[in-house]
Amino acid sequence: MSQLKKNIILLFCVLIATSSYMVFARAGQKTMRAEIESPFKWGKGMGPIQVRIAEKQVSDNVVTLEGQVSTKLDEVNIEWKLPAGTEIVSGNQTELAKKTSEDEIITRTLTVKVSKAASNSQIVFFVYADDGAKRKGNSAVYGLKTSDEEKASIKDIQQFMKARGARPVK
Amino acid sequence: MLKLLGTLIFVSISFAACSQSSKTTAATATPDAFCETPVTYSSGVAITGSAVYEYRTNGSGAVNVSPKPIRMAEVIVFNADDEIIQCGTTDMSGIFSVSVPNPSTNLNIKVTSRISNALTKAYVLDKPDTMDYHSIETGAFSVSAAGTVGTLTAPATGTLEGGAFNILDKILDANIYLETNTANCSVTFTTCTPFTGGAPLLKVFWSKGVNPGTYVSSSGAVSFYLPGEYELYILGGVSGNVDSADCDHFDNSIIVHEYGHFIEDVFSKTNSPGGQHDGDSIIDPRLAWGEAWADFFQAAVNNLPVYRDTVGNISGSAALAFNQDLENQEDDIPTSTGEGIFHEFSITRVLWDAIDDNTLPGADSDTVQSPFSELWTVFTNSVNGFKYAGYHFRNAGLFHYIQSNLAGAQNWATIRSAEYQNADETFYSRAVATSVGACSPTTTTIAPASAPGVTENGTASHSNQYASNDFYKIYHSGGVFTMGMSYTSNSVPSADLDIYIYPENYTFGGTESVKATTSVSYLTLSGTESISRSLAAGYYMINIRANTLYRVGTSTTYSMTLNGVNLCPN
Repeated sequence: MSQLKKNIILLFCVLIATSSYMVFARAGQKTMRAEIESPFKWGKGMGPIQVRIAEKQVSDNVVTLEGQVSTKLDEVNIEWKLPAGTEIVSGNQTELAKKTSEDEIITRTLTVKVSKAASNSQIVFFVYADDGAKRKGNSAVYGLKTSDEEKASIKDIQQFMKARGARPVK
Repeated sequence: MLKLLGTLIFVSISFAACSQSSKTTAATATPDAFCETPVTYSSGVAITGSAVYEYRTNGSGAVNVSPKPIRMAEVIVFNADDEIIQCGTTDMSGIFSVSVPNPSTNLNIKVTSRISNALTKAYVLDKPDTMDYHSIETGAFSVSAAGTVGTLTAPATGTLEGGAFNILDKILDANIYLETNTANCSVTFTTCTPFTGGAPLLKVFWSKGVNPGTYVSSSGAVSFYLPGEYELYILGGVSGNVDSADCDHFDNSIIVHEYGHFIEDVFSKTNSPGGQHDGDSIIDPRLAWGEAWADFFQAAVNNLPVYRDTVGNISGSAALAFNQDLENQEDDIPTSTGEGIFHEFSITRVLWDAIDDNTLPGADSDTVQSPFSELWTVFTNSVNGFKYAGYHFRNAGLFHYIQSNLAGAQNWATIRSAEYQNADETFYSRAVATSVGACSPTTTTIAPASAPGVTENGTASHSNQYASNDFYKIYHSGGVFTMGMSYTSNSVPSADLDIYIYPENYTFGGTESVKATTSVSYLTLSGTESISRSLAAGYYMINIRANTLYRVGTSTTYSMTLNGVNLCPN
């Protein structure tokens, strides 16, 4: 076989190989541990389980929340801790959740009816995994009530911090 | 009507009842003057008492049955008109004695969450726009003779003032550690400055149930330090919850870690750009260093090689967000030469190994035994130490370089090599210089690779800063900066190398960079890049980065030029 033919064959093989690789690489543009997006980039160290609650829908006395979990672990226990005066409309209060892919953000939705008795308390999204005697975990908290006075207070502080050019880095 | 609002926009005001009312607007907030000068009463009698605070064992366990003394804290005596009539402090056992007029009625003694003495000036306050201290108090009492008011207790449950006093006490611990371990340090290290003068006033903001992340519009539950402001923010819970939420007021690792950033801010110099860190990843070496210093500092002060961050407590739902062994390799383990300085906990382990008592149970077998003052000398010296103004892009490689050249220092070669760390900046912030002749060696090799658990995809956040990037620092005197690079590989696909020029305080992948990138064929064995910009005088970081959008590429060699002349790594 001439050198020219060899080069053409080599070139063809390389073309096929790199094209395949390119498709694979594009399809796999994910991390093992997808991070839950947060506007705060300078907090303390992130542990192996990160959680967040997203408010999906709110009416007068019914709220739908989405708990989100990002973790290195293959499976975690999920538990919604509800205050007295709340009633589950849909969703599971406890569950063993297994990841189906390495980069998956596990999401679970819960809809609850909230009575006035629960109006000053919180719903906790608690996620954990037991490692021997140690329990690794994290939680996110949803406050069921924020008064106008409290909203104004936090807004004041945010403006105060912003005016000072606050940039937390650690 | 019940109002249901966003996840984390709630600030508890429950603590207002325990604190003074707000007296100032946000823009002018200042804390009350420290009650400093005792008053002499000719008819005075001594009233004694003691103050203690409760805390949770290991951060989230049961309330410890043995409360700790509130040491060196401010004591204020108020009269019936709420006027201050006497000032004092607790001693190292939490005991106080104040002189008050005899007779007196309706007096009230408060022990506050503030310390102000030669060694420690720290206030634990409620919020940055009110700056009210936390306190425990006797309530109204009358005096007809010398006597005692008994023991005041800051609880670890309920109103939770124990949280504020635990934070205060850990700061005192840290300063005592620094004072003790740097005393007379100049005898061994001539350039060492002892911590005898203490630290400037630090304000710590903490309130029960409050996530200070909300102050900076964050949804995440965080504690943090504000550099340059001497302000530390400690997580007191979330949306009023303190039993199942992440709280840090009893997490001594977190409190002293954040205080370590303050110490770094005041006494050393950081180039950390901030950013996310999970303690098990390859990250920017400047960030890795800053976090590792703080991790190490808390271990040294607490005399415990563990980084522990708890969530909730046993009264609610308890878990460990972090429980990292800092003595033995558990996570964040480098595997290649020079990689260690990209790992937060790897650097922490080296620093801990440098000072640890190797006879303790669980200790590894390293034989290095440096005094803390050795690290302090390297860390704080501004003439030939880490704080020297001529250093840039500070990272663990630079720290090791300075330590290894410090007269009287121990040899850390074994503990560094165990963590794949060099005593130079070969693997980050390497110096380069122009050369009219050829570089030696003539080319540099880069072998891009995905970091464990991360798939390279062309984005900076997924780029392995150790394997897929090279970093060179250079001083540019201003004007046109014309840089070229050519690269080649022995096998396809080569790495697709790009040039990025970052200003000194850059964030990796940030938009502040200028870059030269060229799309290349997948069949290519080589490529060239060039960039020409007018840049202000200053230090810059040249980043040769493998573009891994479509491929990681094979081992590839490259050479650089600056203004047409060879640019050689030193």
